[in-house]
Amino acid sequence: MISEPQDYRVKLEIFEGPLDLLLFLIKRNELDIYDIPVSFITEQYLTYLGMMQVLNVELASEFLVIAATLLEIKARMLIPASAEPEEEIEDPRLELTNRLLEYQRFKNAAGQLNNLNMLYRDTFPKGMQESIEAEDTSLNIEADAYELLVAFKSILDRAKGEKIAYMTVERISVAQRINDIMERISIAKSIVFDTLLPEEYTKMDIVITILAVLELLRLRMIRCEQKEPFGNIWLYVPE
Amino acid sequence: METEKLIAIIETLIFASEKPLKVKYIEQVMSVIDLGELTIPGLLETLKAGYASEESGIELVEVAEGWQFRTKPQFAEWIKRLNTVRPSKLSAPAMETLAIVAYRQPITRAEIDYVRGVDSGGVIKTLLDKRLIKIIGKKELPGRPLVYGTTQEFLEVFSLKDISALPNLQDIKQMSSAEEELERNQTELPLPASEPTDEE
Repeated sequence: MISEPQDYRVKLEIFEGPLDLLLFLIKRNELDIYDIPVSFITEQYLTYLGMMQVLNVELASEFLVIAATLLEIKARMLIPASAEPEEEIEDPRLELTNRLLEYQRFKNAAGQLNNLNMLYRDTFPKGMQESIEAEDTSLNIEADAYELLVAFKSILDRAKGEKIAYMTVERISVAQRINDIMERISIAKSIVFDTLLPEEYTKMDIVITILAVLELLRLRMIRCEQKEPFGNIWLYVPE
Repeated sequence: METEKLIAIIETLIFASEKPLKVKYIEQVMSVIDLGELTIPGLLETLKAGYASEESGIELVEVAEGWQFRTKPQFAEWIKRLNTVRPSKLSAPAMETLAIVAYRQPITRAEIDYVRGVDSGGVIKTLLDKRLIKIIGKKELPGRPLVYGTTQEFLEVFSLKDISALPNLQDIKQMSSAEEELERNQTELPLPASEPTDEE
């Protein structure tokens, strides 16, 4: 493991939770939610947790609880069926499936709420005071935060097996990277996420880059959009 | 009195109020007038229809059990250009939590956490601060946990007439009821509100 250049922890609300990550993986891999291949999904889930750890994203403990649940289900599915035939055997995945379905239902419900005519967003009464005054911390990203992770993963995969010669370690800071990105983006107006990295890069470059992008999103200095599912992620300056 | 004039009175009442105006207040004010065959709800509908045309940028809407004039959604972009309002938005976790509260109220924090699979303390506080949800009581469970529900402001913000106007309310409630039943059987044991004991 690379030693950490500084003690940073990233706390991001955009990674909503373990169920959200699981649903994302199921959708992305076009799996049947009623028949989840536990082995496969566990592996994927752990890969993504690992990546989030590389990024020092502060993971809620719940992510680990679900990881443990997945491993438990995996183990239970390996146990041969009970010898007593009368005993009804419950699919060990059932509880998790139900939770995912329930969660998905409310995610959809949230989408429907969001489609309603919202006061001070879609419709305004007379008088211009605002009722929902608390500073909004929402991140304006149309592309899913997990999609960013997918992009990050593909870059990591690309970096695998590449010969890296260690000479001098030039540590660029996240702040520096932010400046680089802003400079490029202000000239080009929009850039594809994948092209942010230089020709030759180290793992540290990748980590610094994605942290810079996430920070810029949080500060709303850039916006992030994906034209089609799993397509390129475009970064651009909001109007 | 002519119908036109009655409608005009109602129009002024709604225009002059700060908050969505309840029908009962309109009825109170106008109780001195003999309406004959006409009713306030009927007159409201006529007034509403009058604003429906393309020529008007505002509309009369029924929200939070009252009536209010609001701009039509298709002109929102223009109002934003005025730059005097900060458009309000809710984060995805806040929207999700709000949906859970709205569709499953009354609901405890533990139940919200379970559905979301993640701690919801921070988001619940945000929603309380924005007055979109409130504490509506305590549940008859060990520890007497607080239960949350949506507020009048919630209805106003989401342009809902009342809580039954939530989209697909029945579908979502029905689908959840089976699981709720399960939870109830698990949790509503007559345990003393002390330390949890092992199952026998």
